[in-house]
Amino acid sequence: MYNFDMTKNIRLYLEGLAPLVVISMVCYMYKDDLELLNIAMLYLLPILFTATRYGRVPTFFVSLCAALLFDILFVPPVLHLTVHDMEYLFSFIIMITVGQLVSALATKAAKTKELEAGEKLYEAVLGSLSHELRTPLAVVIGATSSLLSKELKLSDAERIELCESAFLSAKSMQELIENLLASARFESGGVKPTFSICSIDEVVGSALLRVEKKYSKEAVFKIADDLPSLNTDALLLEQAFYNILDNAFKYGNNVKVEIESSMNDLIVKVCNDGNIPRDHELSFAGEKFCRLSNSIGIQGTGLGLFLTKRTVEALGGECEIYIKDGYFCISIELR
Amino acid sequence: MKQIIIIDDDQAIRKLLTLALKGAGYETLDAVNVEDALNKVALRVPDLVLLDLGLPGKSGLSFLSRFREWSDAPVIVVSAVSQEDKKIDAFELGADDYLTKPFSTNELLARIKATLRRYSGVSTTHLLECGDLRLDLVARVVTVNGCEVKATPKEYELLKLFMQNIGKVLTHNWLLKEVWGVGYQNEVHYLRVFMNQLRQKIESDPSRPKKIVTETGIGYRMVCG
Repeated sequence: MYNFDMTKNIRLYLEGLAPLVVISMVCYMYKDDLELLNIAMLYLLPILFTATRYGRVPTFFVSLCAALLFDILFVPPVLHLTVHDMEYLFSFIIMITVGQLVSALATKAAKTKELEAGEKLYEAVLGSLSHELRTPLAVVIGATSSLLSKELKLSDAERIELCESAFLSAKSMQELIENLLASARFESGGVKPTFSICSIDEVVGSALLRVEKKYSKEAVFKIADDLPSLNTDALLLEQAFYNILDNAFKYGNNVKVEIESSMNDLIVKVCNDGNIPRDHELSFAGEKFCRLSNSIGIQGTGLGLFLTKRTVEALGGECEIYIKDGYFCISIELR
Repeated sequence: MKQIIIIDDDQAIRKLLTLALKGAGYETLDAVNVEDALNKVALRVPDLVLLDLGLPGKSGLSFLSRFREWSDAPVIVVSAVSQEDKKIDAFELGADDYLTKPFSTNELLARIKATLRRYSGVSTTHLLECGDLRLDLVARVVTVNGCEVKATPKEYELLKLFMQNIGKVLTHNWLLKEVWGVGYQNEVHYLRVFMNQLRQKIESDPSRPKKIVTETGIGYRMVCG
């Protein structure tokens, strides 16, 4: 980590110095045709270049180098550090001040941009949420108002159909609201796991049964023998598995669930084929309100996997997301 | 006609439950807080109590502990998701079942029916049945689809408890106390191992148990039909 930062910093300084060297060479070649004042102006260019890109410290470094090079190469006596005229000392100060001022402005501009991006994300979230809530709500109001209407002549079958769609919509609103409340609880630090001994196959199994019932489909479920017991919050963990299993059935045709152990760790893998995201998007998977390209046209809020990740982390486990043989997999390791 | 008391502070919920229960042929009575409820059940013991945990003032749990001092009438506890940690407390205090809001009317009626059936007189038969599963208390024989299943004494004890309490949630603590005795309450892994063996013998797909289902974090429940 430290080495990486070092090389990154050195690269940053070198990138700032490169334009300075180029300018110095050009100016040196034409030094007889250029006035000192013009050369000083040209020397501001690499400083501004660094200031708009790399922040205060590299800018200061480049400004200092610029002042020194300017002095050595152009200010008489040439190739000496000595300065006879106080006027030039003043130009060095200007170089450094301009560099610092511009880099401060650039930092401020970048922050404003970040804020704007944040606002855009907020708007996107609000937009997606209000859509996800309004759609089922529209169905509930539409269906129940039709049922109440005295003008509509509905057959019994139609009445039942309306009731069913109102019921299903209310159910989907319920899931959304529970997820929102759960993520709010996580944000406010209100989630305190209560640990107790339980068995992972029962926790995963009951989440799986709920999801299989919802989608009327079955997963391929493999449980290794002699799994160790687990000390965890069974209720939180079951909900965590429910979220990713629900996603797996929502996007996939075939779902595979495997529980195995290595040493004292338990590993649960949930994989689905079908409509899976692209490889390069995986680093965004599980970010709050983030939905990947495969989710277009499918209802959801981008909260499920986020909640699972946060829950697993709160319980001392780890999540890994990968794509293998056309299957999108989430592997959860618990201790 | 069976009488059910609805204890809930929300008027809309009381109205909805009253409507559903009357429609299903029960007589209803309602109460808005713990004092009100205690006064009403003292006048006439209901056949079943539907208790909301999130009552204003004293909580539903305090009603439950007071009520259990003198009555064995079945109590079904109802609460919001945010109070799930109170589930265990409710069962330890003697609740018979637990429903999380929001729930469907069908589910509520099914739970009420199962609970009332369990209370409607002690069974005098020595044959316990649940779907294709039969347990003969006299011969100490368990059969699935007519075929005898060899159960160890502990497995038999466990299964007997489930078949005597069909539809009821049995907590880990209670099962450990009944089968292994006092002092084993923290040995949940014993229970886990025996439940696993039992399921291998009586379930058609042990990884997806349909007869003895898991109530995550609480215990198990036997479901028939």
